[in-house]
Amino acid sequence: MSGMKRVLRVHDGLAITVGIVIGAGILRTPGLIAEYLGNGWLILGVWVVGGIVAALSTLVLAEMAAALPQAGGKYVYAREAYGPVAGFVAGWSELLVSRAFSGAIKAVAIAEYLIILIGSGSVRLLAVGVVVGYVIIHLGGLKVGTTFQNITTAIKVLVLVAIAAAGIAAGDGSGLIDPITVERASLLGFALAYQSVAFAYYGWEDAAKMAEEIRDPGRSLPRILIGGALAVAVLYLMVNTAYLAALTPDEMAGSELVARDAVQGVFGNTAATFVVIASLLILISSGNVNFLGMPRVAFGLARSGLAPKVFQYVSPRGTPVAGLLLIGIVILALASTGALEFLIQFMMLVAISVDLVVLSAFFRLRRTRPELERPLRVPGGVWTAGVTIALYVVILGIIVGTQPWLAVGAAVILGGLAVAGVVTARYADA
Amino acid sequence: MSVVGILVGTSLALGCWLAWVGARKGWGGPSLQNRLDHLEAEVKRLGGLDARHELDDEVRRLDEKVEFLEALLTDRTKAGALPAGDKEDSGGDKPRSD
Repeated sequence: MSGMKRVLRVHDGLAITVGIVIGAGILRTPGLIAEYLGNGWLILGVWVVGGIVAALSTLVLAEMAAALPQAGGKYVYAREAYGPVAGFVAGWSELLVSRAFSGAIKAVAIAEYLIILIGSGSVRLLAVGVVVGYVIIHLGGLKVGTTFQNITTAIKVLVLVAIAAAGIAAGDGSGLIDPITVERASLLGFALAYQSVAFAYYGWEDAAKMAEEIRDPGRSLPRILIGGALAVAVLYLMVNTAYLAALTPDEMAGSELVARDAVQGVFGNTAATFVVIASLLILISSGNVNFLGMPRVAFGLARSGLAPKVFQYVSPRGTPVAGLLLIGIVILALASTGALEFLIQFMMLVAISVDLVVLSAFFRLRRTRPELERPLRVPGGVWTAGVTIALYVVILGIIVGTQPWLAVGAAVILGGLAVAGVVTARYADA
Repeated sequence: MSVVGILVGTSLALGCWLAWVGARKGWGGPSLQNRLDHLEAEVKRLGGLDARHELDDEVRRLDEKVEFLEALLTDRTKAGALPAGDKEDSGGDKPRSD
């Protein structure tokens, strides 16, 4: 047991949830989503679907988080429900795919925004430079303090609210004039857009990890998780409505920073430059969380016997060096491709597959571990969990059906991790 | 644990490579057509932005012209070069009688 103190109240939890979830996604993906869907109403619709799935998933995970309040996250629930191999796959896929890909995506986006600011440069080289910079900073044990994180969280909420308010007030609604047409509403378009939206909402699983630090979790946690997910969803919808008030989907399509284009169209170049700088700050802060958190996930895996003991070594400066270097190398390799769309699509396919297994642990734990004390029981019980799982199955089916080669790649990774998990479990038994 | 390391590393690299090659070649996924659609959308977007900026510039130029002419008219009126009523009459469609 970690022995963490229950100090967080509802408003703390809401602030943390919003701070964790909002990051690169809402800044970088609207241009991609507009390209995939091409219709304002479809764009808003997919953001609504993403919000509903995120809220339901958070709730289901929260029951497990409150019942098994151990640091480490999803692999703990998978291990308790299905054994060490499932824990190994969930833990390592979270580390090497969900978090490493997310770090690489942020590094590429930072590189793109630096180029917008300075006028020219290579995305790949700058992205590599960003990753090297993060590794050096964290190897030096330089902790970017919570003050920086809190300030950037405030900046991101303020910037998004300002963009939403300005866009809705000053825009002419040009993006919402066209009705939905059949040729625009394709399964592939939905799948790609949903992967981008899911990336923007990703982080909900981290919010559930607060379970062991919340006061009166049975009452407070559902409020925090549902309230947090709703707050993020409302903010995302407002921002997208603002974009669509100022720009048409065709104008948004392919843009690296739709917020800048929308603000530029309404308020001019100075305001647009401000948006670029604010977006960079938000991304730098968000990327920092990846480099701060991932070596600690590796540390947790090693402590549970699911990773080599070298990952437990912490330098005198407080840095889990081996974990940081491993993560740094993986992120560097991914970021050097500069292929942001591919990284988002592949990451979310793997993440959704693993999350489906982790969320299904809800049923298994209720059946096999009925004695567990559950400070929080999901409202709606198995029905809520069932609907959530059903949504995941449908979405995953659409993604696999429309992007089979991504699915083959994901299967190879998850299969390889499963074999490695079996080998690890045998070593542990021997 | 080295066997595990090799397994994890190989499966990650192989999985990413397969997905990457498959996605690039458009094997059942976002294909070349998608890339072309993307480029077309980008051209349209840039064209739209360009048109918008050009229109903005045109409106700004016209506003400046209007301001200049109004100032000129005021000056001329004050200097007595034009009768006071001409400013209001100048832009109207009032029928003139010969």
